[in-house]
Order: sequence, then structure tokens, then C-alpha cells
Amino acid sequence: MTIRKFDQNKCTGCGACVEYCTRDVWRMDPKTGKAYVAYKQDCQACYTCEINCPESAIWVHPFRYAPRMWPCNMEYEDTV
Amino acid sequence: MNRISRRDLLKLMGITGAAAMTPYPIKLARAAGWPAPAPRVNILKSYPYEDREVFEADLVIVGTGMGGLWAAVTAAEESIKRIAIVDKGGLGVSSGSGMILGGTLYWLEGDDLAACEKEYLKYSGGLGHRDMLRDMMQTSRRRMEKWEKWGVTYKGFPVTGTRMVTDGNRYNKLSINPRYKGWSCGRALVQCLLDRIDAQGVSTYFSKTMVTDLLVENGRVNGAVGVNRMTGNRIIFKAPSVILATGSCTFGPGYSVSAHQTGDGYALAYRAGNKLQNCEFLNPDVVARDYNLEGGHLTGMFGARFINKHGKDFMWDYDPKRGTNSNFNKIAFAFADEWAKGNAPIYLDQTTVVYKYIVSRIFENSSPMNTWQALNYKRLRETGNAPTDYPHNQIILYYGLQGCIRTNNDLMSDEINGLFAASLSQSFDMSTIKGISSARGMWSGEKTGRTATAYARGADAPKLNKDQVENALDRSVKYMNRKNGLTYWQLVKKFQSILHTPEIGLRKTSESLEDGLRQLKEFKENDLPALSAKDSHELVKAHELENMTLVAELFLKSSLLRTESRYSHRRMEYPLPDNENWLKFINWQINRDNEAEMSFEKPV
Repeated sequence: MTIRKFDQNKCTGCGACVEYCTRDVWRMDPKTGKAYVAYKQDCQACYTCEINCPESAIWVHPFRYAPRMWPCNMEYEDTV
Repeated sequence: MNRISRRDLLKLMGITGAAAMTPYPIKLARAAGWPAPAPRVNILKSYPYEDREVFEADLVIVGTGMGGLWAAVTAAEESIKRIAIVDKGGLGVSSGSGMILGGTLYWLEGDDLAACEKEYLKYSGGLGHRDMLRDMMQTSRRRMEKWEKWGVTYKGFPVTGTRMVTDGNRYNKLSINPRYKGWSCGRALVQCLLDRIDAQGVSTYFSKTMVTDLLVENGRVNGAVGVNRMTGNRIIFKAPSVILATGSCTFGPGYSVSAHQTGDGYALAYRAGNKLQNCEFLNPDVVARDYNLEGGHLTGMFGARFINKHGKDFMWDYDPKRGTNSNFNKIAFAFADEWAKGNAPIYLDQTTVVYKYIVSRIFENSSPMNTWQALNYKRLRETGNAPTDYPHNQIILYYGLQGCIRTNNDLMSDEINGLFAASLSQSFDMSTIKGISSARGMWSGEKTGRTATAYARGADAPKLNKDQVENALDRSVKYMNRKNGLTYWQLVKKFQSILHTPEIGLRKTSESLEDGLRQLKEFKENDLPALSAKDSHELVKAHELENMTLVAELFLKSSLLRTESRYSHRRMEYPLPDNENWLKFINWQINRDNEAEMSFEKPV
């Protein structure tokens, strides 16, 4: 997945990632009061969460899940 | 994956690159370093609403790109009292505007507007709304002054300055490299507007809220209905005017900048009875297959090139003058033709000596990459995937249909009073040149901000029709938990396998389009009704798929009608533009039987 590292110990539950995520990938866990990745397949590696996280708890890998479009020699990668 | 061998690459190196040495002084590479980390900002808090809550406003703005935000700022300046700003993602950040480089076309004193207009219309295939284009050019100075007043500076490039000429067209003058409070590029512009809106204090924010229906009765807008993708709560907006400042339609997410553009604005306007125009022009671009980096063709002038699976630098066959540094359409057509010849996959080779050791370093260090792009590039390098490490697989990206919601010169719908269209969904032309999208976003946002305010002032108070509201509320959650349903991910793959083929996008023939229409009809009748969402997150995606299907049908139908080639529309049987018969727009409108009805419109 594109959000490769997330340090839950650093997370203060400020909700910046949840509010800013453009694809609604992040959610807040009401039990722990911390963020978690709820819909990983929607991540487009835009780094918005990483840039806006005040605790630098997030590390995003540049490779995204993408529909495998043409012209390339690959079929859809089954990401879900 | 067919990797190109090292020896082949060595053979290819050299010649093209050396001819195009950079004009930049090389010492810059050492001086600048990575752009400073972005400042963290206060979050604009979204309004928490209960299910079925009614929110009264004077103006509802759907979409928070350049158009939506400009509309909000302008409407507040025109002293409107209550604005609701709605976005299905995060405010400001989910649009393309926050992710672009922020280069914008401006027309200032001394620019030859008549010549520019002529050149621009020629570039976009001669189809465009001249009055709107003129208005955009004439008022451009005003918006530039506003940016300056609000604290945005255009820093420019070291040699070219703040106004750069692009696309081989001397009238396209871009202002580049905007900065605002430590932000750079498009994100700087968006942040400036968000700060303005927050300071004005008349707007209420509804992030993660997707508008699923407009409330239209007797040819006028009374509001809209939306659903929250996090809580599943539905909201009813009661307002006399709505601005659709949404993006275009890309037929499925595949790229960070355009992943959200699923034709929602088009579908809203169309279902409410508005005309859609220019549905056949699906603008292509080329991006890396695995990550978000576009504009690779621009590095063609510095020695990088597209190569096919045999290692051939094929772009010179298609554009003898500019090669890899060609324009969007020519590159995309070339990709499709190479695919048809069996030469796919295609790579972007930036490993040439000149590019790898000189130009890319300068780009990384001194070019105005905004925060995410800079981070992206850095991360690619860290993970051993820098574009200069090995030739990267390239794919065609549908940048989207451009210009669909037909409006009059006040950017208000002819059919529905109180409905306005801005941003990419505004119909005034169908071309993409660098800087035109932000220019049209700013122009249309500012314009609709004014005209919608003027309309809302004079309009009667909106009245909600109870049955209509109930229907819209039911429709907004109709995909929830259907029995034996299929998920979005199961269906979107099928949908995209119909649309994302070279024959449908860039090598259109009557057979391929008819075949596409047949498959889409089957999809619509058999698969789409089974679409089911297990939660509110998937519910919004289900609506997106429904909207994309609607737009895809109009795209295929109008592509089939237009028996000529013009701009990004290419019919293989009709390779030339046919100005005698086809210098006209195709409009689609829904009729009483829920069917699409076609009409033609001549450009003024």
C-alpha cells in the first residue's frame, strides 16, 4: 500500500489527515482516539496526509494503486 | 515488464540531448537545495450536521478548486450573507488546483488580445465561445492585481522571468511559480484563497460531502441534497442559487490530480435538465504508470525521450519538429498508434547523460516544484525509482472531458435559473494549453461569484417541494446494502475495461464506438443495478460510478456523431477537420422520456 509507514505512537489524534485526505482513506478510531488507514485501496499517493501531519508520523511510498491503463503490458493489478 | 537493455540505452544516448543545453546557470543547482517543508495550517472545521438537516444559504458552491474558491471569495466581497462550500473530499486540497504547478495565463498591458484570441481558437480547433474568451482576457489584469493585494507573489524562473511563453505559441504567456506564506505553486494559490474565505467569515464548510441531486422545480433552483461520506448523514441545502465548480470526467481514478474528477457536476446539471456540450473531446496526457508524475514530454527539450519496447525514439516519426517535446494530443495519438503497431509498452527515457547529470539536478533544486511534487521526486529517488534511474513505463491518462455544462455569457444555465457553472465543467472551450485551466478557473469563479450574487439578491425565496426532497434523499442512499450486490471495485474494473482502450479514446472508429456503446449499455442494464455499498464511503464511490457511466454514454454517442477529426477527437476514417459540416457544437439534453436528446449549436 502507498501509506507504507504510520507510527501510531506518534499520533495525537488531531485529525489533520482525516480532514485533509482527498480520497477519504483515513478515519479516526473512536476507541483509541487515533487515526488509522481505513480504505487503503483509495490512496493515490498525493502525500497530503504526510505533509499535513504535525507529528510526522506518516510515510508515503510514491507508487500508487492505479487502474492499469494502456499502453502497457500489464493487466489490472489486483489491489483490493 | 520488458526492460530495455543497458546496451540499447547507451546506443540511444547523446545526440538529442546535447543540442538542447539548459539556459540556466549551473551554479543554481548547488545554491537552492530542496524547497523548505510546507507550513502546517489550521484546519477549516467542517460543519457537523445531523441526518436530514436543512441548511439555508444564499449560495451553494459545489467544488473547491480554483473556480469554487474564487467564487466564494468574490461572492463574499459582493456582500452575500451566507455561503455553503461543499466538497466531496478535503477543502481546497482535493482539487487539481492544489496539486498543479500554478502557472497561469494572464493578459496584461501591451498584449495583443485580438491576435491571442485568434491563435487560441485556432489551437482549440476553432470551436469555442468567443465572447467568454474575450471576457476572460479583458478582466485578467484585475485578478492579477487581487493576487498581489492578497500577498501572492509570482517568483518566476531564473532566466525566463515571471512570464514564460509556452506551447510554441508566442501569445501564451504564463505567470509562473506563485508563492504565499511559505507555500508554493498551486497549493499557494489555494491556501491564499482559503485564508481569504476564513477571514471573510460568511462561509460554512461541508467537506467530505457529495452533492447527489439538485432541487430544481419550474426551471429554477431551490437547493441541493448531499450525503456525507464519513457519517452517512444527509443534508438538504435550501438556496436560490448553486454554482457547480466541479472538475471534469476522467472515467475512473488513476492519478492524484484527476482522481476525483468523475463527472459529478456534469451529471447533476444534466439530470436537472441542463445542456451538456463538447462531450466528445476527451483530453489525454501521459503519466508514469506507477506514480504521480506528469509533464515528462517537457523534458524532451533537454534530451529525454519516449521510447517504445524496441528502444526506438519514435516521437520524431509523429512530430518531426518537436519530437518528445510535442503537444498532449500528438503524443497521445502517437502512443495509441505505437500500441496498434504492437510496439507498446512505452517508456520515458531520462537516463541520457545531459538530462541525468545536468538538467534533472537543476530541476530538482531550482524549479518551482510544489510541496507534494518535490516530496514525490525526493521519495522516488530515495526508493531507487528516480525517473533518471531507468526508463519508466508510461501510460495514457484521460485528463478528462473538458467543457460540458452549457451556460450563457453570465455563466448561468439557459434552462435553469440560479444554476451556474465554473471551473473545468464550464463549457466555454475544450482545449488544454498550459495555464489555461487555472486561468479559466479564476475567471469563471470570479464571474459566477458576481453573477450568482446578483441573481440571488433578486430571486424569490426558495421553496422546497416535500416529495422532491424525499425522492432526492432516498436516491442519495439508494446503493446502501443491496442484497447480492457487487462492490464498486468489482464494477469499476469492468467499466474501465470498456472505456480505457486505445480504440475508444484515441483511435476512434464507428465500429469501436458502436461496440463500446453496446458494452456500456449492457453494463448499465445488467451490472450497474447490482452496485451496492456497504458503508457511506463506498456510497459516494457508487454515485461516482453512476455519474461516470452517464457521461461515458454521452461521450461515446457524440464521438460517434462527429464524423471528422478535431483537436483531441480523432476518427480514424475521417482524419481531417471538416469545417464545412462540423464547425458546430453537439449539445445533449435529457427529455421527458429520460433519454438523451441531441441538438447542434453554431459558435458565435
